[in-house]
Amino acid sequence: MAQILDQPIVDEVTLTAQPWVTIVWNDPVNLMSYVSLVFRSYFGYTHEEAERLMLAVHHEGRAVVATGNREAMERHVQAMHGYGLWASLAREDA
Amino acid sequence: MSAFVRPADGPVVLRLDEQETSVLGQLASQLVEMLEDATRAGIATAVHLDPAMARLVPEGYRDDPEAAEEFRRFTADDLVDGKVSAAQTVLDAVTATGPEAEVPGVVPAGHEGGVAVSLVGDTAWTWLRFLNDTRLTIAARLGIEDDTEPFEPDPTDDDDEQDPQLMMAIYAWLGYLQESIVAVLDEA
Repeated sequence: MAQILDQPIVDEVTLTAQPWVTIVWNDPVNLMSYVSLVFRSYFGYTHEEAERLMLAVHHEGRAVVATGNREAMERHVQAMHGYGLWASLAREDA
Repeated sequence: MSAFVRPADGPVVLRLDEQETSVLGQLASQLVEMLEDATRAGIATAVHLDPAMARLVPEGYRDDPEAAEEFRRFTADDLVDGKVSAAQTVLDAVTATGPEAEVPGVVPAGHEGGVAVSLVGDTAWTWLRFLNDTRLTIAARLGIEDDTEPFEPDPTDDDDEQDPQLMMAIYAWLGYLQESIVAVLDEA
């Protein structure tokens, strides 16, 4: 009989990892106040968190605004495009 | 001159004079036309030919052209439909100047001309989306690419269809309108 109780077959990392992220990129058009409002309104971030992310986009050129499975990130990116934000998704380690 | 009026009860009202409604009407109808032309040509084709369309319908994946193409195939039509719908809503509002034209939340502003738009519910977001899409389009047309330096129109640009200084003034005014509506929602 196989030692089914000894070795976990599933790698713990694959159970807990959330390997996709939604990235918002800086552009010269979108108003900082608008970007912050979208982050609050769509993602439900607090005012402080939305400001922090918006400033990260502005100063660092990009910010990860959500992490999760691929389908959820595709929905977020689609929504961001609806608001006119410059967004894409990628694997978290990319 | 556009102004935001906050009645004692009820939503904030955006008042636009005759000239402003005329400018917004032209922009909204041009945006609708551009988006509908792109839909007819196919969004995937349009984004390769027109930088403005490329910015309005960005790539969902930056490092994976195949996934980006598939993402666009599944999302672009809905995305563009939403943008057309927002522009059409604004167009209906700013052209509702006659007594016979009834648009919910919009009243003709009497003898001064123009309209008063009630920013109730989703209306404010519809305007924000339209203003943002229009600013993105103008920015693509003017080649605004860097927010660290003030924009200078290229003097060698011989495209005389649009006056860059006028476009820049309109761009700034649209930014003011958008900023003001954001402020309205911030207070809510």
